[in-house]
Formats: sequence, structure tokens, C-alpha cells
Amino acid sequence: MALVELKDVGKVYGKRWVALADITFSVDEGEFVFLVGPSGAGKTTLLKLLLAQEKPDSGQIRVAGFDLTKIKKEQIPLLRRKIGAIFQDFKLLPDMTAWENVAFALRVCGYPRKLIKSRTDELLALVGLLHKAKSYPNELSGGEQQRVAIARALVHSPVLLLADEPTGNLDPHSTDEIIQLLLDINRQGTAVIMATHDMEIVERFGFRVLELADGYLVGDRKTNIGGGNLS
Amino acid sequence: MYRKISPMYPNISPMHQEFSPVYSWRVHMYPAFSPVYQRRSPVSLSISPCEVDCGGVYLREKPVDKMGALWFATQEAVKSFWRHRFVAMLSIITIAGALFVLGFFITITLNLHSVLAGVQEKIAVELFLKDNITKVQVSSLMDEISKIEGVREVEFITKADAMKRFTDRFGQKYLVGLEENPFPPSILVKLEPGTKLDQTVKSIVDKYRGHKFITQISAPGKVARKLSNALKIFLILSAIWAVILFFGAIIIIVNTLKLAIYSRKESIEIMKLVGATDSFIHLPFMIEGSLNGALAGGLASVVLYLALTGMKKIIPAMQMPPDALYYGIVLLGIALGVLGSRLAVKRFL
Repeated sequence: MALVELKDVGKVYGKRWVALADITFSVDEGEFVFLVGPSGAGKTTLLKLLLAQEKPDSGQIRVAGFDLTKIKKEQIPLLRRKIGAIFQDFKLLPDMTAWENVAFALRVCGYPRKLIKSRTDELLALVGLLHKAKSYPNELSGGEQQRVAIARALVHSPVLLLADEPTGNLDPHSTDEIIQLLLDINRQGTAVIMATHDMEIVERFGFRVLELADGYLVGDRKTNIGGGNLS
Repeated sequence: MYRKISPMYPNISPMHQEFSPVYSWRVHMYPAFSPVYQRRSPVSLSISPCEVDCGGVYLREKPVDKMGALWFATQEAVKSFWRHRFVAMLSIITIAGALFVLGFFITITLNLHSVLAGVQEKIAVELFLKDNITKVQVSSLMDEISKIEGVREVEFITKADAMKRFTDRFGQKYLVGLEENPFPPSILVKLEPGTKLDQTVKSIVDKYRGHKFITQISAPGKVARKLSNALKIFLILSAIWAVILFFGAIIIIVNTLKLAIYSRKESIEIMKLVGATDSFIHLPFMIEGSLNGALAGGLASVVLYLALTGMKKIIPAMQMPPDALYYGIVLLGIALGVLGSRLAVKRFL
């Protein structure tokens, strides 16, 4: 069974504004998928649906074994422990250090203290930021902040990582770093869906590309298979 | 470079350590307070398409740290309380004021009640009987009356007793020249004090007016009877005040918490995103609300105690309320806090 399955999914905001219509696709475990399209095409809405932040108005969505059209409120936390999410604006808490930001995600899920410590160190090491554990977000560069956000998104060892324009605020060098990190994570078995409107990245790395325009899925193609290496 | 990490769990086989980096295991987690955590949803484990088999080592331990969660929530609550200490102080003082007035009302009602009871104890209905009534008739009549609800005591006053009563009060001089005892025998009905006194009087008068053995009924005057109505009005006022206070205090607490919730919008968003359960997210606000309520109740109790002790010095006859009132006010404060925070969490989260 596929990790993510969408069938004829539609989402309408208010009464008239159609954010998504007739979206059908599936993503397998361990896949890397780019979600492209101009601003307002529905990329963010789609990711919100996958995170169960919004409910679809029509169609069916299955993510990691949960039926999101019928999911109960108390099951949403369970779903979100299988999905990591990162965003353009990082969403780090400014009054906490990098370490505390990652540990926060574990604390609020009721993990024991010992586990929190070792796991946080481990995740910060994974994203290469253990030496900046005590820095506050405003002391970190954009790329570093995004890496902290990635570490936080990985606390539950998710099966799926959603990235909403993760490189939107970053310089080219940091962008490459972040994408390399996402590739590493993907190589270790986590499926990644990355929304972006930076076609240059997409062309360079290849993988599967889902293209959205005005709420419709207008393309599902694989580009440059076998590529995907930074050199 | 960032893969040289010592294995976190001893129960992972060495083989896994060798081949797989950090991602070699999936931690199977259960939410701290979720009612669904016993239902294990099977995780669809990923068999990676890449060169490293992620294997999927389950950790069967349940990392549910309830004490840790409670500690976290308490810390958050206190932090937030301190951050909004001026607003919190305002709401505490307002609620304490309302609780104080309620306690004061209850004390006044209590005192009024005891004063009225003293007055009402002296109120009695007297049924004057015909001279030729027999003892048997009297005793059956008394039996009948004592069965009426609200009657405390029934007393038979003979002609001689009546005469004695009169002379005790007014002296002999008015009776000079009378050949026989002019006073009729009577039954004195003493009544139970309370709000139903008026009704009891009415039912006795209605029942025995025009009775064959009874010549006349002397009932207490209107003013005396209306005293019981005053008590009733006071009780109703207290109840209305309690209801107004209840809603007012809840609105105040809801608004205080609304501020706390809005100022932590970001962290709530992240908590939701990383899969914190609703109960975990709500707990800090519930604790903060209860803290507000408890402090308001405590403040009201202390001020009420001081005020009443001060009044007792001026009016020594004043009756002090039982200690239960003070505890009751604190408990009411906490109850208001819990209820208010439930509402706030429901509305704004």
C-alpha cells in the first residue's frame, strides 16, 4: 500500500474559491517528490490536507495508514507523529535555543527526560549543528535555522517529511545544503514531499515532479532519473 | 560527518548499528494522555528503496512520562501566569471581590436568620375556647393542632392560668368587683421559626375559624408575619447574586486565559504540529485557570475573615459564619477557574 494516496480530492475555501480540485496521486514509501507550481496553485493547501490541518471537501486521502477523511480528532496527534513538517519561515520558537527547540517537540509528546536528551543530541548531530546547540534562532543563519527545524521534524522518525518551500528564504549555498540533507534523510527511508516554485532545483535534482496549477494536478513526471547529485 | 553517533538503545542488534546510521530504528511512540494509546495502529514500516535497509526496530517501551508531563504543564502555567501577572492580578482581585461580597451576603443572611428566629419564637397563635369545653375535647383538639406542619408546641391554658397571666402582667386592680373569672380557656400554639411561618399561621386560622369550640383566634400581626418574607427575599437575593457572580467570574477567567492562549499561539501551533495530544496542550491553561481561581478564593477568604472579625468588635452580638464558609469560598474559586479554563480552551484552541 502506498504511503500517501489521494483520490479525487477537492478543497474549497469559502463558497467559491476552489483551492484544489480532482487531485489524484499516490506516493510510495521512501519516495522523493517535488511539488511545483506558481504561488496560489494549492501547494500549501495540499500539504495542510496531508497534515490533517484541513479537511478535504471531497475525495479520499490516506496517509500512513490513516484515512484522513474520517480521522478522529484524538488520532490526529498519532498521525502527526509519523509525519515531519518544515516550512519556509522555519517556525522555531524565538525564546528557546536550538537544543530546546528540538527538545520541546519531544517534551510536549511526553517523552521521558533521559530519552529527550540523548535523542536531541543525536538529531542535532545529524543535521550538523551540535556545536550551535545553545544558540538562539536569531543567532543562527537561515540555513542553520532550517536545519534545526529539520531536526525537530525528525523527532519521531517520521515515515514522511513534508517540506513547504523550505528553501524559499535561503541563499543558494544554504539551499544546496538543505536539499542535500533532505536527500540524506530520504536515502534512509523517509519519503519526502517538497513543495517549491524554484524550477532550477527541480531540474537539477530530478526525481518525481507533481505539478499543480490553479488547484489542478497538471503534471506527474519523472525527470532526470539517476541524477540528483550535487557536485 | 554527522553519522558517528553512539547507538542510543542497547537492544538494537550490532548488525543494525553497523549498517544503518541514525535512522535505523523507528521509535514507536504513544501520546502521553491520549485515550487511544492502547490501540496500537500498525505502523507501515518502510522497507527503504535505497541501499540501506532501515530494518525497523521497534522500541516496545512506552515512553509515557506522566509526571514529566504534569511538571511541564505546571512550569508552563506558572511562566504564563508570571508573564501576565498584571492582568492576572486584575482578574484575581475582581473575582475575589465578587466572592467576598457573596461571603458577606451569606453572613448577613445567617445573622438575619438568627435574629428572625428569635423574634419568631415569640410569635404564637392563641385559640380561645368556650367555657363549657370538656377535657377530652380539649386534648383531642390539641392532638389535631400539633399534627399541623410548622407547629412547634401546643399548650393548654386553663381559665385560672389565663387569669394568672393577666394579673402577673397588669396587677389586681382591674379585676376588682368581678364575681367570676372572665377569662376564657385557650390553646396556645407556638410555631416553628422559618420562612413558612406565615403559611402555618394562615392554615391554622383558616381551619379553626368558626369551629364549634372556638370563640376567637388571636393571630400575630401582619408585620411580625412579614418578617419571614424578608428572610425569603434575602435568600433569593443571595442566590441571584451567586448566579451573577458565577457567570461574571467565568467570563473574567475566560478572557484572562484568552490572552495567555494568544500569546502562546506559536508554541501551540508547533505542539500540534509535532503531535502533542490535545490534553497535553490544554493542561497548562487548565492549571493556570485553577491557579487564578484558587488565588482569588484565598484572597476573598482572608479579606472576609478580617472584615468579619473587625465587625464583630463593633457589633458583639453578631454571629460569625462557620469555618466551612471560608473553605467553601476557596473551593468555589478553584471550581470557577477550572470551568473558565475549560471554556477558554474549547473556544480558543
